[in-house]
Amino acid sequence: MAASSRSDENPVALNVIPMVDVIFCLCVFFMCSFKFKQLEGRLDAWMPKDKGATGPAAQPQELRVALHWDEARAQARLQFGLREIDDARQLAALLREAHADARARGAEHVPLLIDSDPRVPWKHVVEIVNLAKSLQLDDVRFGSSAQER
Amino acid sequence: MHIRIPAMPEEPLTPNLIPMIDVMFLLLLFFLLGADMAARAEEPLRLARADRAQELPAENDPRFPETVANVHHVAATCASYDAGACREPSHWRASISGRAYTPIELESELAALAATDLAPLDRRSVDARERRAFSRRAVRVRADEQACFGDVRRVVEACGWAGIHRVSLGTELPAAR
Repeated sequence: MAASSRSDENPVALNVIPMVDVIFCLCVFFMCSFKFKQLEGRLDAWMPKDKGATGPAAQPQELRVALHWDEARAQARLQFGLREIDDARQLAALLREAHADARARGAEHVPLLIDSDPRVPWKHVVEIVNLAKSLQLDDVRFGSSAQER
Repeated sequence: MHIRIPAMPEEPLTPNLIPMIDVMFLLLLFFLLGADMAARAEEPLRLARADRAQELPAENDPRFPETVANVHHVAATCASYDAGACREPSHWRASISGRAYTPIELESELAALAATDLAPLDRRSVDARERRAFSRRAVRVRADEQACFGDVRRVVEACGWAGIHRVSLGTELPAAR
């Protein structure tokens, strides 16, 4: 049986206008609160488990990168050893060279110590950690606040 | 010759709303499912970019429950933040699940969280210095790219003092991998 679409044959007419209004409002609400999720990742780190257990360990040969904060110019300065570094590419080349050098001298385990001023923006530190990952330097350490005190 | 066209019965001219309602229902469903109404563990902030970071797993490993600690900027308007370097200490907060903590409170909160998920006592999971078990709990530290290194380090150190050694640093992944 075919259904008729004529309104005079359908005594109970549905008024859809209020429903459309409500759906419009809901649509606008959800549209305004909609946010595209940022694609996030993580750099795994492990806190040392046995610090202090074995007494002062022999100081391993380490690669030390210092980050200073220039308050006047509001920018971070990089230093590797005593040398000022201009950009990450230069630091990568120096780290690669120093790491290869240490390995050639028989050091199996060469940690990278990031010794940073507490005011340095976090992105500069992450940049160095990322660089270390790309150079396969897995042991990255932060200078602790106890050392600063 | 005169052709007579029969008069059509008069019908009110009304737009057909049914397809529009269908489309709006679909839109509503899309936005409803896409809306994030959960309590925010992750504060909105600008993460530092790292292309060597691992993508976050779709689901966390239930053996290692994860807590997200945020270090984020809280001032509504800050010219220094917009310029790229806000160093005002009062503009920065460390928070977990939307609640801000002072460094001491953060340490005790993390210690309480760590205590709920202690690893079984074996030689590897015991802190030899303090004879305490380590926690299975993991902490992801999400810090704004402009946050002070000192503030982030304080959170990481608090994890260490709380007996949490699974710590990861939250980063933003480049869009195209």
